Amino acid sequence: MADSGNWCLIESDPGVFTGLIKGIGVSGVQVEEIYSIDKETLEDLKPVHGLIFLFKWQGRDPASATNQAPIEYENPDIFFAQQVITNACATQAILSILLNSRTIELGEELSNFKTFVSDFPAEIKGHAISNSDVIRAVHNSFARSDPFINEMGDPNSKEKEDLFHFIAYTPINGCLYELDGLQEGPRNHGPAEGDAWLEKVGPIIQERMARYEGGEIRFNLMAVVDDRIKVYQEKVAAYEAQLKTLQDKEGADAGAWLKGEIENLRGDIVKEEGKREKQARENKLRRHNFIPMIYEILKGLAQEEGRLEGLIEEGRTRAKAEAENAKQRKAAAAAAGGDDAGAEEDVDMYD
Amino acid sequence: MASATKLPLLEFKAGRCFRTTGTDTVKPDPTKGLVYLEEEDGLMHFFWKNRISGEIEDDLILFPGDAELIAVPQCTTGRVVMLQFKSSSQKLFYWLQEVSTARDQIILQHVNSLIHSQEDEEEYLDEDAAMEDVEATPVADSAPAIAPSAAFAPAAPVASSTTNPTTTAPAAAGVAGGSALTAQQMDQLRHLLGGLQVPQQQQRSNLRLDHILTPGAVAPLLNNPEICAALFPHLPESSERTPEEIQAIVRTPQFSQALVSLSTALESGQLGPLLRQFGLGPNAGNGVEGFLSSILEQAKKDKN
Repeated sequence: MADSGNWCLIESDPGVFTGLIKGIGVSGVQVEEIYSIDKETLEDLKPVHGLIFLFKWQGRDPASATNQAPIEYENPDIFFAQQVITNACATQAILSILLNSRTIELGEELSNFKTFVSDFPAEIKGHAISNSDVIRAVHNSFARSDPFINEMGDPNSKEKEDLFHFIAYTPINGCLYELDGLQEGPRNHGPAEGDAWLEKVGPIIQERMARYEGGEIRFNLMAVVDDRIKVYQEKVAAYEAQLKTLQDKEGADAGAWLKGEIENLRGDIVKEEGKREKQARENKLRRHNFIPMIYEILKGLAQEEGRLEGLIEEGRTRAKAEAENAKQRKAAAAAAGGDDAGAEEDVDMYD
Repeated sequence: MASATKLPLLEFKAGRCFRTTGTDTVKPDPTKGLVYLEEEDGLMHFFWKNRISGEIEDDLILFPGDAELIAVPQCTTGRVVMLQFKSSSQKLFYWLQEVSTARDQIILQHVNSLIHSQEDEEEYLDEDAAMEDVEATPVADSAPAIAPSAAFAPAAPVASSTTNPTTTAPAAAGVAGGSALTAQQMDQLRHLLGGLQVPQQQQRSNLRLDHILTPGAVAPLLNNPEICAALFPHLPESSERTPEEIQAIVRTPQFSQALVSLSTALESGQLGPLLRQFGLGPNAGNGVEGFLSSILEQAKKDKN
């Protein structure tokens, strides 16, 4: 537990998680944020290796008391690690999916890790994750330079600071499992062959969300999926082969719909490439040391007579207004007797 | 060591060399200068002073073992040396202006032993004693034990309550391409940040840098090509060197976060030594207000 100081908070962001997976040496998968668990969304993302569900931790998990799925204490086929440090839990949820997959290429590092911990009990597995230099180094490379992520939060709410918890849902040996590092073992939600788990998991997560009091909107759902560009390229290749067969038989004008599909997929590839570029850029900025740049900007402003002084004055006004707003919001929340003080604040989710 | 009559640990006459933009060659600048190493606040400083104007133009902090001064063999017409940082890609070039070449090797050895000796005090003392026999220039009179101050020693990770994710220490290696702070310094800065406990109540009501450096405040500045040129080296390596790119970066949430975290660090009051890297006065580490007023003071001084 004392090691938790070594693990930084990282942003709950698909670009960060994708970078993290790649950094550990796993290839061919990426993380996508999903905004609804309807059939079409999941259908479009297939093959899905697992879902990561993030929610606000309230000291107790309202769903756990009524969770009907039985815990399997000893199942050698499942990688299950108990969570021993808070900050690593997103990484742990991702590992739960990766290490239970039969198809994902883990790469040398993670394969060795899997072999190394295979016989350990769940708690020791958790410690093994927290002690893994490689996993920690990659995790920490996505850290913000700012250790005080909550300085924007209500300074008086320290005792009930929001914690977020991540759990993984993934199919193992034809059953849907829920892997929650705060439970004593994996929960088996019953048989679901092939992709059937995707239909099964939706209602489970929805039910979980429903257990939270109204107004709780801080949920986040992410999917570990195959490399999208590879998926699109394979589809293009298949459609092109189909088109060729068709055209050989019926002439060059045949297969208009196939041509359209291919064009759409090519557009999807371009879109995906753009998205990756954006994520790579964001990850670079996350790691960049901005202090010299900030200094140079301030210096430049100071060189022009009165410029910086004026901006500082404006800044003071802004700071004051911000403090005033926060006070009012707090007062309003207290008046409403809400336990959810600050729930409407736009707070980023981290782990 | 904090006495007023402090002598530099080592000094030698040298000019600077600058990289010709867009090439891999460096060109010597004819200005007469002086390189000297001094220990301040437990940190080893590498200064370059303009011998004509008397202005200190380079002030770098050398962390133990993090840099090396080596002769550049490719240079056959003069004596060019390179200060190379191990934790970043930063390189600085100087050309020796000492009349005699006799001391060249000794200078290199001595600089490197000073950088290195911070790691191992005993070795430093031995080497220093050996050096004094052959050194003719003013070197350290006594044998100062140069140890990095406790605040900058590679800090043990700060263990904090596991239920409170806001105060755990970051330990990531900073990537400081082309910036004034090396990756190692950045790392140490982060260690430092992680060890601080800032009263949140106080933090909240205070002025932060993100209240000042809004995209709107920065935009007009970018019409000035000189300011843009000063900013370009500090952009992420992969970024284009254009005013538009600077504006785009200033709009990113990552930049805002950097403003917030620097403000927090400033409020902690422990950034002084690192800020002196920018040639700011001792008040610079004294909160956001202190930092800003130091910058204003510096600008005023530069004008006169």
